[in-house]
Amino acid sequence: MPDSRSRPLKVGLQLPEVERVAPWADLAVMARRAEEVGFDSLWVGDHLLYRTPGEAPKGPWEAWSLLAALAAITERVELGPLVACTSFHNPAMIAKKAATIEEISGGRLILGLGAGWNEPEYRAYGFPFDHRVARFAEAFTIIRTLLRDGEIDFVGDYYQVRDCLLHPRGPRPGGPPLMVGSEGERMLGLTLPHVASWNAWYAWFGNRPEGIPPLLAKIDAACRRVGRDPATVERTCAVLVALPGAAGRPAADPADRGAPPLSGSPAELADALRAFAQAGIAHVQLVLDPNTVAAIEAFAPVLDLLDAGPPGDGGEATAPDERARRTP
Amino acid sequence: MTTTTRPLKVGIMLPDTEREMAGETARWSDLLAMARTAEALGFDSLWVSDHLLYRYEGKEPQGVWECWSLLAALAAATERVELGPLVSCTSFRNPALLAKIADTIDEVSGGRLILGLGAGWHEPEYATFDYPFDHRVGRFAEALTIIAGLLRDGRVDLQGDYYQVRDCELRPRGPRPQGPPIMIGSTGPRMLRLAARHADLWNAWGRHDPSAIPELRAKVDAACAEVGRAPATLGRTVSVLIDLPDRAGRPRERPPFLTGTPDEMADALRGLAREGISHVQILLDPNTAAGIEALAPMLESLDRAAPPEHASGA
Repeated sequence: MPDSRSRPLKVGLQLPEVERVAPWADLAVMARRAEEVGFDSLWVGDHLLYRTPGEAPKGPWEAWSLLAALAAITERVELGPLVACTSFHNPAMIAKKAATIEEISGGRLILGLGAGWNEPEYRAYGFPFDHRVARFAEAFTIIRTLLRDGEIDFVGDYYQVRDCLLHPRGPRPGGPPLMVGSEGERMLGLTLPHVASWNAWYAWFGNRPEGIPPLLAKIDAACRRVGRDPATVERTCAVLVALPGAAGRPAADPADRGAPPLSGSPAELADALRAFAQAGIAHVQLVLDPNTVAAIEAFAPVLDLLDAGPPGDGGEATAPDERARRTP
Repeated sequence: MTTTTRPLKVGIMLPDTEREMAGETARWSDLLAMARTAEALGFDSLWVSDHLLYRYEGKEPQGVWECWSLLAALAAATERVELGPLVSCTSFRNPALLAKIADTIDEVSGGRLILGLGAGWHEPEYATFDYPFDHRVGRFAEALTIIAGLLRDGRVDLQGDYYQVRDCELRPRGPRPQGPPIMIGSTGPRMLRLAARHADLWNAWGRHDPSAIPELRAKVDAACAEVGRAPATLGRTVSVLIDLPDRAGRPRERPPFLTGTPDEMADALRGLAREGISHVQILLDPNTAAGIEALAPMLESLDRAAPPEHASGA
């Protein structure tokens, strides 16, 4: 595996969701290859069904099941939902799923949480779409308390868990780190006191490093409002990257269409990721187009360049091709 | 290994509950090692329960790892064995989402899932985790309609008393066009009628005495007759509790437990097969990797041709 001591930010990979129906065999190959070439993390979307007018309906595999399976076949990478919708399961069940997958992975889960947005899937599957933030607030309290303390007694407007115990506990005493995926003021106010990291989807900042500072200013201000030291919240974002063979990622959310992908030579892509790091991003979740094992291979040189340090800073003591890649 | 003469499938229940691996709580590494041992020794299936928390007056509570997360991981880590929940409580997850989970794990396993379903029974875990305990069979009936509809047809629309799914679709579909087989675990008359209508397999808990089977079989056959199903098309399974010589003691289950030499235990399973049981799920004591290894001679005995006095039907 590349020496990542000088890697300026963690680089994760989102597995195919809306792009195509990827059989498990394909996902398993992608996950193992991503781990071998040095990606830091693997991510799956948590959706049930997309119904876009004028397009055939489509849906991904179930997120938590994929995460458990990926945890069992990988050894090093972090794993997480990008992000899990708290409306799709009872919150105490989400805590139990998270603790179990945290255990299977040996402490590699990042628990991304959000309130969801895709109304048609709520209707089809019979979940309430109203009061999403208020429901999230209660669910978040239950989930984080169970994972941190192992117990909670809570009576809310939407959820009641009575003298609930989360046993057995996963490998990390405080549970997995929590990540919130939202730019909404209420969601930020609820979550920033408690989360380890914050996440932005690529459409929120035009998929460009230049779009990051105004967004982070908003996060900093929200942190100050709730008394959280902004420097202690890790900032992460999804980034869309076009590689040879890109056909255009099908947009799950029409708002995604306004964000052109990053593209260019490995050196240019490495520079762009360095620019994200310089803007304050500690972890990116790459959405590759095409989202294939070939694209993982094609992206691998970018990881090598990131690990070698910026051009001309003397950090290239070891040429990328001389470093051993991680092998299984 | 050869299983050509094995008279019924033999599965192993893994210790998914706190302090039930001979007094220890199984970590994932233990469960993985046990799963691989069972697969290597030729067992046919692996099972985990679907519970959240056992709470009995005067006893230390016992939590359980999450059923479907374990099944997904076991599906990824094994190659041959069938896998299933024994059985999954339909109250614990939205039924349409449960169908999606089942189809995803059927995909991960390459078509090795047996979808065990039931209505649940341990009341304390319902209130604790925020699930209703009333109208369990009524809720189960609606959940089953949704789950079976989605897995078999890919689509369902139901405005029920408890669940509403509108023009719901299962996308993508798993590896089997009709979805995984559905197994219903219950002996209640309403549940048996639902099993006769919708299930591929039926399951009863804790029966190892072949003489107990005819009465159960009569109930299942009667339920089939009531709904116009040919009884022979509904597969019959029972879970069997086996105590090995170095048993550690069971916190919850009550005797009788099956014991004996490997040949005696194999004979008991042959007796179940003769009564029409096609698959047993064994809950061992001690439920450890060593316990699974100690059961291997029983499996070998079962795979040998039946003793002459039983060979007439072979």
